[in-house]
Amino acid sequence: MWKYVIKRLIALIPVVAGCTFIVFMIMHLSPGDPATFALGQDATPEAIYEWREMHGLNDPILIQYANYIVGVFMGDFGTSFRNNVSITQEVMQRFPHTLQLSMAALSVSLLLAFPIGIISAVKQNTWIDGLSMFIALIGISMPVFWLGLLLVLFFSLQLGWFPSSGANQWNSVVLPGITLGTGMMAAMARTTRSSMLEVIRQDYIRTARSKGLSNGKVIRKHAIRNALIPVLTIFGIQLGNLLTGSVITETVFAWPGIGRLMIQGIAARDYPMVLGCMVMFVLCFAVINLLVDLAYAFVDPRIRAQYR
Amino acid sequence: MSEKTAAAPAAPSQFKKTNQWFDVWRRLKQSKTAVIGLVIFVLLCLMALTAPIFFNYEQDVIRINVQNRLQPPSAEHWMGTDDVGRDVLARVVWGSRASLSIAFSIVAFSLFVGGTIGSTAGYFGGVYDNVVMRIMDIFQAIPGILLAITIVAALGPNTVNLVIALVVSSCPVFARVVRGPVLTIREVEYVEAAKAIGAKSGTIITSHVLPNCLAPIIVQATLSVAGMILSVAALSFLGLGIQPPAPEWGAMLSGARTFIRDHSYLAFFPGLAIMITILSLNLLGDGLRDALDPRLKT
Repeated sequence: MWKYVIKRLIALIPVVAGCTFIVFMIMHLSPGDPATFALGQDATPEAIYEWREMHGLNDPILIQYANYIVGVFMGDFGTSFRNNVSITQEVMQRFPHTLQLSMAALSVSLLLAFPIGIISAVKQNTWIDGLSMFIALIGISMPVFWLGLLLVLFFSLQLGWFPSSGANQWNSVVLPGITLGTGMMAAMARTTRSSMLEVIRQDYIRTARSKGLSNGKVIRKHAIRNALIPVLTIFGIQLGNLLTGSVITETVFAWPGIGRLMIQGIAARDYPMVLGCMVMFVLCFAVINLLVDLAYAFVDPRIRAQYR
Repeated sequence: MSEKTAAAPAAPSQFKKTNQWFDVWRRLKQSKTAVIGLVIFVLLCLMALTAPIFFNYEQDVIRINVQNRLQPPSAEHWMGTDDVGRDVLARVVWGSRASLSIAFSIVAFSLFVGGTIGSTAGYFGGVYDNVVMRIMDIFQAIPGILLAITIVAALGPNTVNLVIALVVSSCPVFARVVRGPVLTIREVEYVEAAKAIGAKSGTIITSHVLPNCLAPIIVQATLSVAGMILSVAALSFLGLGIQPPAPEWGAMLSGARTFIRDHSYLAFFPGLAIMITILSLNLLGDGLRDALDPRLKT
């Protein structure tokens, strides 16, 4: 098992380097000279040269990339074009907020998705099933930013229960968490239901029932564990969506996370900042995929056996 | 898409093919939700096509009319007016043109580029397949919309760059979806037979291999249109997509944020339009998946 984990971790290095290369090159496609943008139109050629030298922009592009990627693996994301602060520092300062938001969204979706999915499968074709699947369908079709605006409108402007932006109060995370978690909840509830329906028809469930187990016990001990594998696949995909959704959710709620930092970086044409945020997202995405793959082994003994 | 594919296969299989698509339609009709999705989607397309009949672009959609600003919904303005006095209904209706046409073109381009990459990789295999698919892997390791955001940020926000960004970020998905079935189909006897009579690789791929792996491609394309409408709206919401004054649902929502406290209707209708569109495509996509391949039924 550990051998597999280490192998996968090593395999992350070229992926992260490759992604960084793509994003780095895209950023350098941008028209206009960042030095002129940072120093203003009337900067002297000497000042511009000096500024470019300071940010390493006078080297050939491949050397620039090599310097950058070596820095990234050493934990140095460069310095901001805008105010010369360390990007590592800035990103690390914002990261806990994004993590907190993601955890809140994750709790919303996991706490609701499983009960909804399992109950609708067990009570297939009843009104509970119909209602839950209707809600789930609305959930996957709702744009994150619209849901966010509606929640702000209702729970913060009308009822005044939660703050509409920022992360200063203890309950600030509630609305962004629900906003970000709803799509994931809906997708997972749908998969849990269909996966449960498939499992419930299997022979081993009939066997479990025929040996006299109670309905609850059959569901808990025999059905749920087997239904988990497809759910896990969707879970992995949805975790990726969570990262993407966080960019939009953070913008709607002025949440001080990496997503908002990136959008602010774009507005200020602070490319190293955008690049730093992207590298951080790519790292998270890669680690999440690894964790999901490991979770398969945890849930399914057949997969676990392959890793030995 | 269905007429094209029904006509594409070689003559001997013509009769069976028509039957197959007839079967798909019959199965699709049986699903109530899929029919609802299809009807809503057709209505939306009609709305987009007929928009110029009901609203004049210059007069109703983009002309600033400050005297009329921020009026709540009324008989004259069914969805109210926005902060510069433009009729929200007119903008929502015209917004469907932007969203649908852009989403369709993105899916068409990605299908073409990704499909070409995926089908050639799957058909030829070997080193080419390996190299191309590893590159696709790397692209897929970047969450799609973040890659799109980066590209638009670098190239500058406008409609063309938006399309480029979303095509680049969704190509790998199509490459993967197409490559899978091509790998299986290239081994079957009729492909071998086509090779034996000296057909060119391009002909084999387009007329023998691809028509037989359409099911997953059509499902992916339908669901992708929904995904693209959402992505276009999201990027425009962030100010990185279609630029004002052109009407676009996401951009309209973004503009409504400032006035949300007293003029909540501004934030309601464009979002509703997005949701109904996505909902109809999801219903249709689910129905198509079940109808095209009963084995995939969930």
